[in-house]
Amino acid sequence: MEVDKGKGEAEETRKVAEADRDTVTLKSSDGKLFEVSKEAAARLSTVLAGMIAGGSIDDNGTDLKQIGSEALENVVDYCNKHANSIPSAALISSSISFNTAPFKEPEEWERKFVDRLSHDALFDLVEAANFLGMERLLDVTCHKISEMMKGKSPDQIREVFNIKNDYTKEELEEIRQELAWAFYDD
Amino acid sequence: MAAVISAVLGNDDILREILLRLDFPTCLVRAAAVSTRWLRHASDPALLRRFARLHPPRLLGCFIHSSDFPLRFVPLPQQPPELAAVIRRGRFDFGRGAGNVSDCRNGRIIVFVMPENGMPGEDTLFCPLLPGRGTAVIQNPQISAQPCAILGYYSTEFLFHDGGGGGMSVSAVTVMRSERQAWVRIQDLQAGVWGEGRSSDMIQLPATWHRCENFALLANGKLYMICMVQYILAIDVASMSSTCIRLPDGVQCGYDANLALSSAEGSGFCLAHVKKLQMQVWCYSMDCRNIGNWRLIDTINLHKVFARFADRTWASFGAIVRVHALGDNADFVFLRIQNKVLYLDMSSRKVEKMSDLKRFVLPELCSFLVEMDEKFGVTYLDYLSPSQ
Repeated sequence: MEVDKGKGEAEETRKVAEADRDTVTLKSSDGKLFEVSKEAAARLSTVLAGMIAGGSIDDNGTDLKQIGSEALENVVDYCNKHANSIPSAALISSSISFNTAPFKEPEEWERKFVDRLSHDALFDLVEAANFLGMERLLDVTCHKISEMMKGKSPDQIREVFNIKNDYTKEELEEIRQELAWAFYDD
Repeated sequence: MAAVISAVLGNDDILREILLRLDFPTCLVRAAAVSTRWLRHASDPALLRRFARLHPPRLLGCFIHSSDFPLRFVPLPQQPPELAAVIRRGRFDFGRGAGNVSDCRNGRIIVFVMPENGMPGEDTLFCPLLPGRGTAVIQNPQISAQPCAILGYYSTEFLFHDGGGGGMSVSAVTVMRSERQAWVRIQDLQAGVWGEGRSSDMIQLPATWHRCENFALLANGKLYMICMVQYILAIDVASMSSTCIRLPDGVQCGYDANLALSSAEGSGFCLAHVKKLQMQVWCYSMDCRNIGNWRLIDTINLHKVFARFADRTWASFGAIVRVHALGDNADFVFLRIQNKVLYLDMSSRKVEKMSDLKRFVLPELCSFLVEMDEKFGVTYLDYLSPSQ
């Protein structure tokens, strides 16, 4: 997938080639290698932070067998973009996450980042983010999926996400009647 | 394509995270109708509690009642389409005899309705957003226990409060009083019947009883009553012990100054004080030693924020501003200046005009709030939960 590389990012990549210690190399299930800022990886992924701290990072490419190259490219892209973006006040304080705090709305660049993804790529990325313990990326991708349900009827949601309706006709009718206020006049 | 989507949505933790991010309770309910598994998660009390915290109640609009017309609902302008649809499906007409509102919260309202056949009026509970649920007449509670002293005045208020179990409860607050003494009884409505309730001891008041417009608030386990010019009477609902809270310096209720209370997150309450074209917002809370403290949280020059709606006569005639309702945590306020009812969002200072009344406005005008919040979802999703 073509990704716009900002100037800062290109510089970052070059620097990385010169001195390896600022980055980690990740290997996708299909054997492709990706470089990611060590600082960003450790900050954004609890799993990668654990691997870095525990010394289980392989210089020749740490195997991430559960993640395909397309999803891993997006993960790495997200980490690098995150490292380059100026975090807003909201994100700085996100290290302390209160259960009661409202969700932090995706930043403009995060919104753009998930908006350009195909359906498949988005769900692949959710899986990867979940596997790598990337709370913020999971937040942003789940937010995108919930947005896809906005204004849709149960039928439309089932269609978009290919979900089987296992309600009986009577059960569904009961829900519609009891919860009429939530349904559109369709 | 189907494989990865079903893997992701098949993961309970991820599905729950997605459900929690839906903007409105209506979206959550429609999601629950997708499949029985989605319903199981959407109706899980733990998820609903989190959902409720993440999506605070939304203000839909207010009720306005004046001598010109019966009680009517005025939606807040520029609602998101999801809420506009909910309002469109609601039924807000309570008939020509609809008059005073006791309380309105979480989509429920208690209105005094005079039947057109000349029968005596009745306090009636409506759920305007759920027209299918019908109405319930609320009888006045019987008072069995009486205070020993003879008290001349008697009044009963009906108030909504968070019942703790996810739904809203109705309580009746009966006050008997003389000039410097008061006796208060609180009873809860359970399955349509008033419970026995609890009474205070005879309360000796530090000043003369003076009932203000926005009289009572039931919040965080306490009943607060603005019933003296410079004091609020606070009663602990569980123990019925009472204290009188002195208002901050310069704050009092009177002819040209008035007050409104609202509940504050966690404990305590918020107070709006309007005098002429100045509004102060205070927060009262208890510190770790259980000592109450007032904190000034906002000062607003109403002439400035109302710029667009301001009238030249306001200053010259010394317009009196009435505060009709204060939102929880003082998020917003409804005010009336002369014949205009205005809504003010505190953080953005955004103002909306709710109503222009005819020239003669009797002071009985009241605005009450309709909110839609998660509790519809809680109550109904619980009811439908297949896990029972």
